Amino acid sequence: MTIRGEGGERTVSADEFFLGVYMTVVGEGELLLSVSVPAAANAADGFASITIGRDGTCIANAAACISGDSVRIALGCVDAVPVLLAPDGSDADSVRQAVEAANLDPPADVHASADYRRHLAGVCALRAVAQAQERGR
Amino acid sequence: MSTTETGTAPVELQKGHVGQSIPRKEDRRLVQGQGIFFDDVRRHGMGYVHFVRSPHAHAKIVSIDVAAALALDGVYGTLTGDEVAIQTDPFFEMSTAPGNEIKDYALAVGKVRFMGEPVAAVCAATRELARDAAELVEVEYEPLDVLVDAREAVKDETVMHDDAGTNTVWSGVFDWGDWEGAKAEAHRIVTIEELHFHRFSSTPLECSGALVEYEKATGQWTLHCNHQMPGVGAIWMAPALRTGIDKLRFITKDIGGGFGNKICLHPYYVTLCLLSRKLNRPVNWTEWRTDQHTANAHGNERWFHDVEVAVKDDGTMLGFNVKALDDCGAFPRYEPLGCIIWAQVTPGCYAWRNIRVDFTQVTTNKAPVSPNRGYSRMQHLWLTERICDIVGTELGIDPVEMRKRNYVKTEQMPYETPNGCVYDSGDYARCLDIALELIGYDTIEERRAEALTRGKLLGIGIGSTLDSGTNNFGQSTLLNPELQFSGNNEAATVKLDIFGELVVTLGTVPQGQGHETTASQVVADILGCSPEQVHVRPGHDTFFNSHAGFSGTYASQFAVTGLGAVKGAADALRAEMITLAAAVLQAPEEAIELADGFARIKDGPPEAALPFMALGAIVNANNAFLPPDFNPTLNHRFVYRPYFGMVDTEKKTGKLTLTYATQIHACVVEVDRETGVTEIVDYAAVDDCGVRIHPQIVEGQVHGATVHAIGAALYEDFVYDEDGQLLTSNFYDYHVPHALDVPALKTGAIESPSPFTPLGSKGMGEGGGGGIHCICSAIQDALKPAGAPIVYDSCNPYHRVWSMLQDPESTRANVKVVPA
Amino acid sequence: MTVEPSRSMAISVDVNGDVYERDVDARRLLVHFIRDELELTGTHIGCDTGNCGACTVHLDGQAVKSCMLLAVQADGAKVRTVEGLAPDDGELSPLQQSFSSHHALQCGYCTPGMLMSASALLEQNPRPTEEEARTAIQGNICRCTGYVNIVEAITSVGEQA
Repeated sequence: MTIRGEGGERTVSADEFFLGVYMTVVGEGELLLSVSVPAAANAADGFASITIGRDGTCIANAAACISGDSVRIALGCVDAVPVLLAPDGSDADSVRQAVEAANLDPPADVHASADYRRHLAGVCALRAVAQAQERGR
Repeated sequence: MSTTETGTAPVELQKGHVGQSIPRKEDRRLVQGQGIFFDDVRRHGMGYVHFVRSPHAHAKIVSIDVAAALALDGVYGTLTGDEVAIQTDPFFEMSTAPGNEIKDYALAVGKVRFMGEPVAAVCAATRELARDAAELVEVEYEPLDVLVDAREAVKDETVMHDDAGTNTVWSGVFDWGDWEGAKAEAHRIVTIEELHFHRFSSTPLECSGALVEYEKATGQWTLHCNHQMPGVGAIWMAPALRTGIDKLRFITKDIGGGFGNKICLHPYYVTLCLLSRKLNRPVNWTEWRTDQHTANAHGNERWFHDVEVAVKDDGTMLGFNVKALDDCGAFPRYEPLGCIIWAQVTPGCYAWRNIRVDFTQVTTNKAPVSPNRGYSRMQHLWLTERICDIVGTELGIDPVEMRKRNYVKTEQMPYETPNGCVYDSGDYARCLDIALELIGYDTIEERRAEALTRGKLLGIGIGSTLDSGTNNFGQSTLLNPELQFSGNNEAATVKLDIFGELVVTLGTVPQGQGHETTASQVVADILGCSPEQVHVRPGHDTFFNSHAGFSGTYASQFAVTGLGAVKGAADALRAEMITLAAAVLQAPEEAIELADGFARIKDGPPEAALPFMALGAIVNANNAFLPPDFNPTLNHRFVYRPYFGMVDTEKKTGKLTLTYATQIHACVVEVDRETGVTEIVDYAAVDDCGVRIHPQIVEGQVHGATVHAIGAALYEDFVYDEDGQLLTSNFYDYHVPHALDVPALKTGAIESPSPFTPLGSKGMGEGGGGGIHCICSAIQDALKPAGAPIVYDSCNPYHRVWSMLQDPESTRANVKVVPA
Repeated sequence: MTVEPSRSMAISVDVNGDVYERDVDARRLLVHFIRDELELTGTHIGCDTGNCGACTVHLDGQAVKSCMLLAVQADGAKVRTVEGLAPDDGELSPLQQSFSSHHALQCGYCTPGMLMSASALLEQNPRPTEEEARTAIQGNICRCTGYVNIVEAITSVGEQA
């Protein structure tokens, strides 16, 4: 992720970029200029979300990327920053285990209790992986 | 898709332009951005007002310091509660003692009682500056215990209004028919411990506001505003301001939606009146969206406790007994009228005769309520529909069967309800059949099985509602016999001007209902001309002198009261035009007809015809030849007054409203078993509002009311935390339906003319919250295979549906069936 | 050395073909500039969080919410508002006409924003499907119509294209 300010440009990784809810490393007088996502060969992506209505505020979401044996999942709305998971495989049990191992402690708000949001994160993770598998076929 | 058929035989009505969907007169300006909304009005030297609002739900005001705000360059002045308390009297309260001891002022005096309550106002040269200055006002608070739950408030352990000494605004028992007898006759009693109708509002897209000018020489205030019921607004404001009612001139042009939410603007407007007088300059206040959600107008929240329903084994419902607990928020502004308005539809669509309602209304530390589309009846109709579905579920009787067995029958119309209201006409069973046909009810079991293969639980629901229109304000005396309100009225003026222009002035205050168009249709048919020849003045102006005490646009009544007044005025003008033409053409009056923009001798020679212009010119400018005892004005003001008779304050009965439009909704939902996500996959709304003046406008109102109900049923909820902080104060968290959220809506219509109204029409537009009832019904049906939970709340966002899936038993524990 | 940031800025904006040069408050929103300074009051405000779309205008051909931009961001740009939709001859545009004939407006408050979102869609995609029409106005809230007739008004203009 490339950020430009008075002092010039700098590039940070996504891990470093997010600091908290609505907070990033982009400082005063700086702008995020671009986001580069490396194109992995033979990779397939999937995404699932639970929003209020078709396109409203998001309650939970998950993005998955399957590249060969490597499976990566990013969970949104469950912590102050996105949570990255690397399950052992793309089968449902592995995904469930990875979500469980993450010991999610999501925030509760008017749209979802912590329990419900944790449950939705698991559902979204499975759906995102399933979609990635489908698209990789 | 839409379908229309005619029900019972229509009354005698000459249909020319009435009944046609002619192009709306309002559209041309609105699609070009030329509408005139209050915030579009500018005055030289005007200041912008921003309110300082309470961050606390309940607190004593220790001190207010405006010095820093006043020191800011460009700030014109401030107003605080102390000044308000000196310069005004508290607003008139409608309840009985001690609820009527509540003191409600334009700004908080001594204490704040809800988050967002205005504490002070700042006026400055720009909007931005006013906002900056408001932040500089220092207010010291001493927080108090907070009441957010009516069930706690009713205990009076904490009291919000010391003057009243209780949180109860109004309380009373309504007992109609013979509840004990019904229990004895019943085979079973179905009980429901608790049901909850949630808090939401229609959130019109244009927020509230006004530009207020003060004329020092005459003490005249002019309010360019969006108040939807100025007559009643003035009744609140003038005594508080210690002025005469004619000193308040309300002007509205276009209004960006109202839905009842723009009825209780008087506290804000009084503040603006005081500021404009104090600063001697025009002042504008345009509410911010967050402020509207936080502090303007919510719908009534209501609990129903200890519901008992007397039923026979065949599903015949004999009556019910319930304790209703209404939460009106911090101040009872339009309240306690909500404690009686529901009684217009006491039995809902059903023929049960024995109904007992123990009704209590309390204040809580939440935003005050205001009428909201379907006001107070929607809550009660939701109860009757919940009862019907819960009884059906418990007795194992199909929801269609339950309704058809219990509906009031078309051959019983006009039907007198147990509390003396008269349902004028309708055919509920026929409407239900049409709705079921539109959603393909006969294929529902196959669709249910197919959905299951996709992990979805499919359900069908029905919502049967009535939209009662044209209030009898005498119902207020069933709450407080001392009140001096009864009946209803609306005014209109129709004139033929010097160059032959037909000018109509309404007393109503349209907010999108197309009054200019429908009024022109009625006038055109009566005067024999085209609607294009009829100019209807947009909006409302007190100085038009064309309004009556209850003027406004609210409570589903324009098609009766507004058009009744237009018809009366046009009839009078017509009679005079005929007399005049007969005199000029030297023919008997019976020989004169008004047609094609002429007054002419029927079947007479072409020259025996006077264009309207000639009539206008004779009376206004060329009248020397008219005989001395004939003084036509060609300018007629008519006040339409529906006849109700008096209500019985002992028995609490009477004709509470004039017309009853029917809405039968049916829908199909799919619930995702894994997540609780609920989607509407099929929807039909069938409406019967008697004679439709403009079917396209009627259908538009049906669409709008339906989507409000869909939003309320699935998303829209004003939720407070335990400290009284509103958690849904903007359109992110208070999700209203967007285009992608709305399913394809199918509509149907039948016309059962009202025998009681000038045009056979009925008020419509509010709907009765039919969508809320039918979605609750459909969710309950869908969840049947998952432990058969009982839907107990009117709002069912995903998390609540998921909870019901996780724990159906606790909702089932709410319901019991005992042998009688 | 800290420099006090300037509080106002001179801008030049082309709105509906007329060029306006103004000194504006640096913090003034584009929508308030259009409404309060240019007195083009057809562009409306319905919220304060960017959800409702009543303030939608075209900025260099793109539909944008003018409450989410500062006036200074429009410097040098071409802005089109609802007042610029109808041709000069007093006739309505086909889209405006279609909104009227389909009863796609009731109070008319959301209408300018709806028209701007829909016209931006039609310029890119003259024959939108129902789903495309719904997606194009997804950022515009209407509280009166339930969107049914708005969607029909948009797609039927497409059919005639």
